[in-house]
Amino acid sequence: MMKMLPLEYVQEGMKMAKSIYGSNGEILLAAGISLTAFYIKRLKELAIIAVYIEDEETEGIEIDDVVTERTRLEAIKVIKETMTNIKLNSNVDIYKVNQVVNNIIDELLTNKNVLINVIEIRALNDHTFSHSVNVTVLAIITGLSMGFDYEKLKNLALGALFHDIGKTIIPENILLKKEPLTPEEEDLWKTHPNLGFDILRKLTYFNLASAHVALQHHERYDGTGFPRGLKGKKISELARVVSVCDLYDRMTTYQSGQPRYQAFQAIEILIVNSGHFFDPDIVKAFLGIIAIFPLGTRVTLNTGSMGIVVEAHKEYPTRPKVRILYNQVGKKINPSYDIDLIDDSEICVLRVAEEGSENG
Amino acid sequence: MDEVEEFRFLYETCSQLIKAQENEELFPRIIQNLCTAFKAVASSLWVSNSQNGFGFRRIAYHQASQEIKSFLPTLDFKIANLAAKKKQGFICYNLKLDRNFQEVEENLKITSILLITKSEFIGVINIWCKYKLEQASCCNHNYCNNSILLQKLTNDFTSAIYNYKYYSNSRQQRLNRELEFARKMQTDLVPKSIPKIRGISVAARNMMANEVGGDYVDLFLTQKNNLGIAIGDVMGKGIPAALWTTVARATLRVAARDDLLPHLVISEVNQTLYEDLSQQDMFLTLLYAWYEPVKQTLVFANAGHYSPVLIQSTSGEHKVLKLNGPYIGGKANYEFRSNAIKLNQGDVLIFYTDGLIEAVNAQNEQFGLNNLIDVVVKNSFYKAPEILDNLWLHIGQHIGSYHQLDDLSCIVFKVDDLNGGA
Repeated sequence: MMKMLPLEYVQEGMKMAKSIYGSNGEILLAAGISLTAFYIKRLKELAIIAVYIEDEETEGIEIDDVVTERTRLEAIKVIKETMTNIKLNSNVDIYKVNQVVNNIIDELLTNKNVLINVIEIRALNDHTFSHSVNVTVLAIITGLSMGFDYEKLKNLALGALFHDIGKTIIPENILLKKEPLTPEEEDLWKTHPNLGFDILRKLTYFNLASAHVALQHHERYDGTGFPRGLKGKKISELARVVSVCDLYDRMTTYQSGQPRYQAFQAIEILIVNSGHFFDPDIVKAFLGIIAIFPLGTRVTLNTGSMGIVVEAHKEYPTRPKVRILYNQVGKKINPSYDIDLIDDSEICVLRVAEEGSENG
Repeated sequence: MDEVEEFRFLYETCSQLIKAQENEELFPRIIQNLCTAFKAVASSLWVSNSQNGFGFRRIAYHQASQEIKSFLPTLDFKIANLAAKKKQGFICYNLKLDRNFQEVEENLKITSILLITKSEFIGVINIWCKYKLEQASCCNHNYCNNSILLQKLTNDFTSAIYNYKYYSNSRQQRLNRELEFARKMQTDLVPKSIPKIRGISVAARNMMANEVGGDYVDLFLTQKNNLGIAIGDVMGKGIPAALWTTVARATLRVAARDDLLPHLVISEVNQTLYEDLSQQDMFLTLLYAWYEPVKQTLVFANAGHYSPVLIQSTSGEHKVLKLNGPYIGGKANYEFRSNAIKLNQGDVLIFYTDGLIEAVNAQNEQFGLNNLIDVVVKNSFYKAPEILDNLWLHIGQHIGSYHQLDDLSCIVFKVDDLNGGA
């Protein structure tokens, strides 16, 4: 396996474990390449925040992509094209959109026991697009675990993919502004659900249930959301799913200038907000598909030894399988061995290491 | 091996073992020689921990053959763990056929030797060989002779490692042995199999600052199948404190066995221990709670211990269940009182010792009660074991690698949601 490193920790000589793609699907930097000072500089210019690096310690750990790289890139391309077309007032290719959504659903259907285990990395310039695709994947898996049928999954997926479509009409200086928005700007920003809904419902063959996701994804379960302040089950179920996935993805992915939440922290934020922002039943379903300790997380156990998470158990989220790499006094263990925490209730995770640091 | 070779091997190993008592670095070489002598694919040596922490550690591992897949180190740990827990060495001629080890694809023979002296567990030696069919049904081949050789070696290893652990560097280390006994005894007293009661989940854990400590937690079923929950903290540290925790635990268990109400249990413990405690100027805090699953009520009495906190996990509302009483050993014949509360779905009760909320980080900031409540609320969708695991994670994140001066103990009790947790 590989490990993810924020760019500031990346050093010359490290080997890329996963290719980096541009928003048109072109390869910017291919897997297997040894990083040079030039490449690292280039990555910084591209506003790439973190990369996957090949890593000896995690050799043999397999991460199955929940959705194949090809489908993911296709989806990103489609959402990008659609957004551009909408800006230019030209036609949207609904056929292509449907096809990409079907592909994602079909891939996820073949693998029903999915646990979200990886952290996605994206360049700043295609953040919105890959965020949309990520939310779509998360939403479908949540929907699957809630027993949605194919039709419902499809409406959910379409809604998730286009939940932020209204932002295409919001001026970029507002979307990219780092400082807090002025009240006027905020009012403008808050129109994106309505704008999105208007765009989507005018599209031929576009399901109204999916369009409502764009309209309602900022509504909150307790009625404090916008634009209409809908409450509880008055908010469409699909929108209730998407709002959970939307926040989770925004919290756990790298965005420049912001620290990323560890999965366990993001999960806690969802739980705290369940019943307030979110439908508790949906949060519950969502927790069932997310690993508290994603693969590759570096942990210190209460035995004092340090290691890396190599397997997560769906039923026992706090008790992953850990590969022991360093002993109590910080001495490297070679060869390493695995301890499965479900076998031993005395052992538990005491700390999660900061990304990029060598030891916990 | 013929007799001469065997003799030479024994002599070399023995002399190396003597040197290894002073120099840990030699163990890997000894294990490597062992591997070669037995034509093994791999071999390892595990030694029980003498410092704080628990379990054991691997001090040597050698893999002669690279053909064997990388699962071997993990399997090796599992076997050593099994031998240590069962206090039994074993031989399995072909692990592939053992249904407990379904992951094994190769024909592997494992000989796991337990090193024990005076009933004290010292360590484990594992020897991994390729399984060959003819070995199973013979009695004058290498392998049979090897088992005699192994017996001789076991004795050498046991005394060498025993000496290495307790006598190697200084006389001071002699004490380690006693300490380790005490530590082992104390950790064994933390309930491992939590009583199972429908509708609730419970979990307990403690973390000692040193080998032994003055904290104690206990969970048990009473005669009428109610749940007894006890937590205590002996003032002072080290061995005297540790001794008193075991005394308190036994006394309370006897007093609580017949479903006596908590204030009577606590009064009984106080009466039994008062004289001895006051003679030694010792005292301890003790809280005993008794949960009746049918009525969903919790009755508790408190002898100077930190009050438990009741948290309505979803709303986040919390209440400190205050009920004062003097320490055990504080006042002779004191009549304690009990309080009863009715619990509802989603209620979480946290019993803890001062070390938990006073756990400090390098900046000397305490973990604090608010943080504790916060963690419970943030994990309200989970059952007690997960809440406890996540609580430990937060405490660990808080303290970092800063060494704790006090013991930390905690019991999490949750009336589970009927809809089930996450």
